[in-house]
Amino acid sequence: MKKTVTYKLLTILALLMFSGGLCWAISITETGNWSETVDSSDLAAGAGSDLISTYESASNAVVIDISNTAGNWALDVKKLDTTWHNNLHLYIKRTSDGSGPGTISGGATYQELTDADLSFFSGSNDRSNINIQLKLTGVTITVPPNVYNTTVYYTVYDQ
Amino acid sequence: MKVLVRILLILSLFVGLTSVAIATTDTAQSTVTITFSEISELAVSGNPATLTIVAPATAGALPADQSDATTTMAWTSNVEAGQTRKITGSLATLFDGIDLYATITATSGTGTSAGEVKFTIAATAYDFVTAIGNCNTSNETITFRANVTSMVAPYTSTAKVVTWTLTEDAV
Repeated sequence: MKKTVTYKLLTILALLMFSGGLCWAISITETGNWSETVDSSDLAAGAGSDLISTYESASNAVVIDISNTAGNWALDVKKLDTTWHNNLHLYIKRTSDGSGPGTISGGATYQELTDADLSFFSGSNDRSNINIQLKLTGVTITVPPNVYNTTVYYTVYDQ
Repeated sequence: MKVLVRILLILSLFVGLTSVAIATTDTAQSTVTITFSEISELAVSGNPATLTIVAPATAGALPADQSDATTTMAWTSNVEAGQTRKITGSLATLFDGIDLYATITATSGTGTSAGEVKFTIAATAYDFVTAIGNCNTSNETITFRANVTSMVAPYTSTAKVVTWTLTEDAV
């Protein structure tokens, strides 16, 4: 009898240990990437003209869900280039509030992404289906043909 | 057993407190891929005016050269590093008794003009602008010059076709 109680107690304590970590771990999930092809159809006025300089993704190119929150949180964003060109500039903005019990604010205007974290938007409690849009500027014919890649990192943290 | 329970209790408190005390973070990522395709676009503004050979002012001389510079060329090009393009021209068939020459200007940074080039052999490509990199330009003047080389019976020529091509240059 005493042994059974002890095991039950041990089980509860073990659950407490793990639940302490699991319940408070804020989580972000992301869906979607952006691919754009620049070719001769993007010339501003045919042969002799330069390329259109600015391109935008769909307004929901990336969708973010934030869950397991414990109150207020904030989200930072940055990009790390694999292959990139100095002429090219990448911007990001939030195009929807998403849904959920919490709140959300900031990030509704384009900000340029760099390799350093910048404050994107913040909120409270869980939010899902937050739409993200990207914009590329600086496209010219002087950018050599290539496939340019960068990775955008979204980091959410408790406040 | 009591010791084990105490250890677990302390650990659970520690883990719990850690969770509360340290703000957790999580990271997701998306990729952005921009594909820049090679672009090679060339256009001309139209056909030059008819070149009419007239009788020479001086008996015994050949008729004077006739030229036209009313048409222009435009091109947009990008190539991989280490490569360039060129513009070639070829005349489908030659004129009787007349040599045809052409010149294409090239604004600085948009290629190197070869100057005046003669269409010596029919249906043969000659280089008119070389060293074209990543650039775009328009309103580059095309000048045609007809040079009479020998007297032939008067004729009204049917149109001769000059084909301009923007193509890869030899590395």
